[in-house]
Amino acid sequence: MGVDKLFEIKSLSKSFIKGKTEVSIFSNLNMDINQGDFLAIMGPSGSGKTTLLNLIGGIDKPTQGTVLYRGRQYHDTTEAELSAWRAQHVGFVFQSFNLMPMLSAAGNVELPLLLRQLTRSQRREKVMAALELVGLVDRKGHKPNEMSGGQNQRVAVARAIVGDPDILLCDEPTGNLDRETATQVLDILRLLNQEFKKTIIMVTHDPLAAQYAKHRVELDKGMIVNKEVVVAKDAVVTQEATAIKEDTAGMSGELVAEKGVVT
Amino acid sequence: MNSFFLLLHNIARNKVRWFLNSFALIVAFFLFGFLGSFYSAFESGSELAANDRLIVMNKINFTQPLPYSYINKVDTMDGVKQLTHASWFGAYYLDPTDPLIGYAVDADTYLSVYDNYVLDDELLTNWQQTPVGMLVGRAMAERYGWLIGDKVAVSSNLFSHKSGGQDWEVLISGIYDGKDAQTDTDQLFLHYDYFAQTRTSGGNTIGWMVLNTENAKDNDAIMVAIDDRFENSAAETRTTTERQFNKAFVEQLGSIGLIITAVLSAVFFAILLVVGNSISMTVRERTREIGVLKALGFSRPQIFKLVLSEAMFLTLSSGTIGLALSYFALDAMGKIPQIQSIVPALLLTPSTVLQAVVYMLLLGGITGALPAYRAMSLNTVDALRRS
Repeated sequence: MGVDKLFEIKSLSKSFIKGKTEVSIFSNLNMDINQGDFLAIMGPSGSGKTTLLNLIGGIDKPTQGTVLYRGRQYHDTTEAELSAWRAQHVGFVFQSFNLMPMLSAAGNVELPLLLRQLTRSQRREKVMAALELVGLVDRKGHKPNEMSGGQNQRVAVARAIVGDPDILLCDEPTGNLDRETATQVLDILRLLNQEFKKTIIMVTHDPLAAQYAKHRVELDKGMIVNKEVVVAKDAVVTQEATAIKEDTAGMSGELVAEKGVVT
Repeated sequence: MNSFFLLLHNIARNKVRWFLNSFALIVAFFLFGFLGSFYSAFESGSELAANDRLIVMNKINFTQPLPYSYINKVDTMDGVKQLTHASWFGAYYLDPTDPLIGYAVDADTYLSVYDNYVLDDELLTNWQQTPVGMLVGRAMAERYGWLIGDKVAVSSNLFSHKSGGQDWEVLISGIYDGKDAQTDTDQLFLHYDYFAQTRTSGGNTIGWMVLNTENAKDNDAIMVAIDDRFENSAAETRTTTERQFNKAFVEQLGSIGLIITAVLSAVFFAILLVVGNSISMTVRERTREIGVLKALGFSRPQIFKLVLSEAMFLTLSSGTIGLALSYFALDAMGKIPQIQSIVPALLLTPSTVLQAVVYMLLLGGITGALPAYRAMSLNTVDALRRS
């Protein structure tokens, strides 16, 4: 069975002007990302990891080169079309969670659904499903400042997946978490990749996080210096996450978590 | 949650700032509703005055009398359709410190010229045929609990009664209503004949004449003709339209309109700067969140709408509260007799409300547009980097 190319990155260059000098972040970058992949992008600070993620997510534009999504160049479309594309296909998870402080967990998760033509009950159903998947139904009414960092990041993951996007773009998702909570978040990401067939592109410094990926790309000074297939380490999946996998096995791509046991 | 709740959450995130902004706007629109209505009520007399109604008064000023004989001379002039006359009675009831608006008029013609007083035909005839009859407006009758058939003694602070004292025994023979809310129903009318025959001074004089013309286009010529007719006589006349007369009367109290406009302009300008700055600050503080919304797929117009809606909601909600408060304040003030005698129809008019809504929208639009544009134009990557 052939593998579908989700993204084709061709001769991609990104630079910016600092004073009178043009600073190149990377140039002539080429890579493909397949559908269903879990890709970890690693590298030292300033190597262009986040910029690459932003370009893939359509919130930044390349200086040169193209990024194709399912064979279609999307950076040359209008900003409105790009926004609509992101709303439909992309979920973002940020290092510092970026939750709205005045909204509850449920309110934050619901945000992307405000862009859809859904009834209130339909939105609520999807929000509850997403919160259940990350094990935070009981925290639905809590605001970000009433939850731990790990819980906030799980809310951010729920917000990213509530609209059922194809792609999750995670920028250092475990960067602000301790080992235990980082593992919980990574387990959820792995579950989303393996069971819900989400393509995950994750920028990370964390070797543990990188072990969860199927492929690893290492950037340095704007160049890909290493590409490797990661040997799956199922041992790092917690028992709770395994339980979710069993419970949600056989579900369609639509996120309808029946039980949430990752805590 | 929906977009409206997102908007509410955004506005209410800094409750002190929200309260202060709302309070400033509430005060501004309270002042607008209150002062605007006060002024329009003050002016309503002149606005309501028909432009084809002319006033003939003594050239010196309107407190000086005219000879009674002028009535027939003017009535027979070309272009005069109907004529009546009135004299200031200087009325009060029981309390000399609480003056009333009261006139001695020609009962047979007065309501034909002033058609904005509504009175049943039977009651009109009753008043006209009762020499000591008094016609009072609804507001005054309710204030003193007067009913048709009541005998009361109204007093004058200008004239004395032949029998001694300053009281005139009258029989209330009619209570009139206004054709609209602005018509003054806080007045009383005595028969001129009864007044003239029983007063000790004033002789055979009247206060002023009021006339309707056949055609308003001829007003200028008629005014000139009347004044020419009495030129070089013992009592020269000055004829104006009633509207001009009322305006001149109001303007004696100073340029109220100019003062109110100046005060309100200063208030609104200050509010514009304060609220505008505050909304800009709110948006600056939320730069990162706006970046997140854009990353989630919110488009530029949606971001613009969200920020603009916050400003609009703030001005519309606070403005509505301010206007509502002015409505209650005007209602309460309008019931005070002393106020009623100056501004009889003190109420929040639809035109003031409409004007206020336009100002709310303008204020919301102006204070929200620039921050909304800035928010919309934010570069998503830069916004996400902002701490």
